[in-house]
Amino acid sequence: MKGLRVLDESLRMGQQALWATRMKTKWMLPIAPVMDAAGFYQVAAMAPVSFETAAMYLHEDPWERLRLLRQHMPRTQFDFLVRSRNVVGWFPKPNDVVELFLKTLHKIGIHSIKVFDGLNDYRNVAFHIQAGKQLGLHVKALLNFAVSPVHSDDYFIGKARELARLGADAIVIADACGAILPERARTLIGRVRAELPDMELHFSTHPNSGVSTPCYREAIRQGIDVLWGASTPLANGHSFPPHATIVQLAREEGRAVDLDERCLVEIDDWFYWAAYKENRPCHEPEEFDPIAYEQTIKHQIPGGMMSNLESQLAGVGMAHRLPEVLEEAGRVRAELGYPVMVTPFSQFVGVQATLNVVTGERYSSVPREMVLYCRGYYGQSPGPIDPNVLDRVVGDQPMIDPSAYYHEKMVEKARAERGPLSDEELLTTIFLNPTALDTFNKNRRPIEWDPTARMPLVALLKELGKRPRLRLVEVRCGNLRVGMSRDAGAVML
Amino acid sequence: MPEQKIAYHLSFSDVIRILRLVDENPFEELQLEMEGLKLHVVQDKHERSPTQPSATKAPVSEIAPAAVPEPVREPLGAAVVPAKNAQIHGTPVLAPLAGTFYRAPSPGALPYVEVGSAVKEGGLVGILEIMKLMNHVTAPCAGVISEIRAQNEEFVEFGQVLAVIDPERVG
Repeated sequence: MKGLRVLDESLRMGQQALWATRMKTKWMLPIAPVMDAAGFYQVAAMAPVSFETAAMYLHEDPWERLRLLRQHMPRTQFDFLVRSRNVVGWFPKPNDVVELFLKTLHKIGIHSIKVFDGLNDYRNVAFHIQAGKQLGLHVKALLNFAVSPVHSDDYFIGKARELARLGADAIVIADACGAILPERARTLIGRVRAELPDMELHFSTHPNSGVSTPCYREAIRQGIDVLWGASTPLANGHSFPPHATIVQLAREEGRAVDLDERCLVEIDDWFYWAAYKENRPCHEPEEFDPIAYEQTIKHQIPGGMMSNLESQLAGVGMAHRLPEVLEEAGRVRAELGYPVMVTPFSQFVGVQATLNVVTGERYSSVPREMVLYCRGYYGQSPGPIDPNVLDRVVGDQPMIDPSAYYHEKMVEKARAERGPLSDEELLTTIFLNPTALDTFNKNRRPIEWDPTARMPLVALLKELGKRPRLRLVEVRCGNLRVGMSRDAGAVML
Repeated sequence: MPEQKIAYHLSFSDVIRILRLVDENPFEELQLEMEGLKLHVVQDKHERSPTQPSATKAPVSEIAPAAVPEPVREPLGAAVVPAKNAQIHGTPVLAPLAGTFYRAPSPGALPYVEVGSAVKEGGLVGILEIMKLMNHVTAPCAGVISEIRAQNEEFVEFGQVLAVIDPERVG
């Protein structure tokens, strides 16, 4: 059997789940040469969230980050996550934006994209797959996993066949909510594997429910080609399992894995330091809790969204009604035909459930996007939408063809409006909302980083020097002796 | 590259441990010796409050997909709302949740309603953005807008009066 490959998600999901996506490029570049040598199959460089956050909150140009990563990891194949028709940003984009975006990624040196649609309605991403292939990109397409009466193994087999027909180079069984259990991982991966024996098959799940390790073990046993993981300080919780766990599992299962463990140790060490300096949490592996699992599985609200719901409810003085909202979210999710609880559908369900509880009358207040969802604007819901809800939300408005805007000329229009801009700059103006763009343009500055940052002894001395209450510091390390004192003549090495 | 990989004996994890030890050390003097490293630190007697917060502090958590983070606000007691909403002559249009209020469909566009606009029951008064979703704010009854109390792009609280309708002046 072929060796197991590992896709690194430290710089994408790791920081998104554990650092609120606030990792600056300065924490990525010093370790880049080691990541480049570690033997990862691919490294996830960026996603819509990290693109927007880099610009809006870190005031870094995401394109510049990509270029720097490319420069400092010359051997690595990078990937970029593309969120369905949103591509990057909140509103859906026509084909011309998708095409310009993929071309720009390709030009900057991104090798691979992973495309997903939360409804698994592949009309939305068929163009991405085709355009990506034409450019010579390696195209991975996601089967978005969810636990629901609709999301059966047969359903996924059908969807996998569809992706193969569309020309995807790889299929990812992606469990965005950490909902899959080991037994299901065994049957589902086993069946997709049997159906498409030659397809490059990936699997990813999150450790938040405490079963990612046995799920990954099943995936290895079923002949998975690639597993997704992260450096230990950027793993666990709602990130992915640690690389070290994957290496251990492969060893136990007698499968070769092509990762340099010395590199992994160094990468871990660096990101422990980054987390310490930036005051970010590191997560321990969780234990499986069957009761918590049963509760979560009904609504499958992503962990990242939970805190937002809590603060919304606290804002209305209804923090105590969270259990009610979650129960309602389970109902709304079913009524909407079980969309996979990822952006934007998790917001639709979460916000609608909150409105239903807070107003006391179900669907009396309905967000505009919810109406569009029910009218088919985002594509076909996995299961049917409840007829009563449809009636209440849509009334006699006509259904919408989700492909109606695919051929609009958004790039041309943006060029005409915004004048001469590079493709990168133009895409930034299309992706960011006006407020975010304004913030970015006002605050953006060149990415700064310290190429010598990865020297622990120097870091120790600098840190000690920052502590004003220390009168005297003496350090001996190998041949090096350093003495620092606030009183002249006090050092006695 | 592989040969020069572990170019240091001291790891960052060691540095973190040492710094924690220094920060939590209640004594004036600290001497530490570990593989290849000797450290001697003397600190002031008087100020010994830790300067470096621990890295295990609670994370800043937020909705994963690029949502604009909502500022964490004090829970709004019921007592605050009536004060803000005092003296209403007519039927109030209330915010169904906390969010950003928009008076027009897009920047620069004409507002949905102005003072003096006639509205039908269920007619559109504005948009309330909640976690990136656009909610229609509709008129609870027919009448004429007598007051608009929330500014465009204002962050409004749950139950805040956004506008007032005079139901007497229908038509």
